[in-house]
Amino acid sequence: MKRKGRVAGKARVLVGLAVAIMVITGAVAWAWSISIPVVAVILVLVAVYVIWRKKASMDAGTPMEDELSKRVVQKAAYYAYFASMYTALGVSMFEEQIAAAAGLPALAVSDVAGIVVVVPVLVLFACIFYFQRKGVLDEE
Amino acid sequence: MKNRMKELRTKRGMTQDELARKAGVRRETIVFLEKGKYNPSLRLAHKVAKILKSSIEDVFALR
Repeated sequence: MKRKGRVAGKARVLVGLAVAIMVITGAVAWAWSISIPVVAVILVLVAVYVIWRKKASMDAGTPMEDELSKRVVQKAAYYAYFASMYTALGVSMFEEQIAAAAGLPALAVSDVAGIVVVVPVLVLFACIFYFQRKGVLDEE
Repeated sequence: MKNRMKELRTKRGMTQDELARKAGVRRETIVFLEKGKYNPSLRLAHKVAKILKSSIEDVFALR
């Protein structure tokens, strides 16, 4: 039973890692293609930091994720979800102004899709860092 | 919620790492619990109390 749980846990970590690599690779490629290398560098640094933390936990003989780390990600995802909705709304409302600020005649579909993906990802990472430092104390 | 985790852990000569390994959580979780920055699940509270050979009420209490 315990072995089955461990295998399922490892499979979940591997799937999560694969999805994270795909998302980050896509976001980095997009950020690089529209010449925002800072965003690309931030995404790569965060990915390296997350992998380093998981490896440190594994080396110490403790699990890579536990109830606190899951709670931190859940709470950060809650804010990232709102960020994604407001980003989509903001981009559709201020498309012309954003294009003008970027020096483009108009935003391409890939630009809009990239913004709607990258902004919530950055919010997610920022919230994860914040809650990892401040803690998650859900009490009134 | 306040707790006496640090007091009981040091009384038993246990490090945060040891407690984390025994409870099956990361060391950061123990740090956050001791600082009162995270309220554990009932399952984890039960585990920690058992490792510290105390009752849940002895370890955790409402402020």
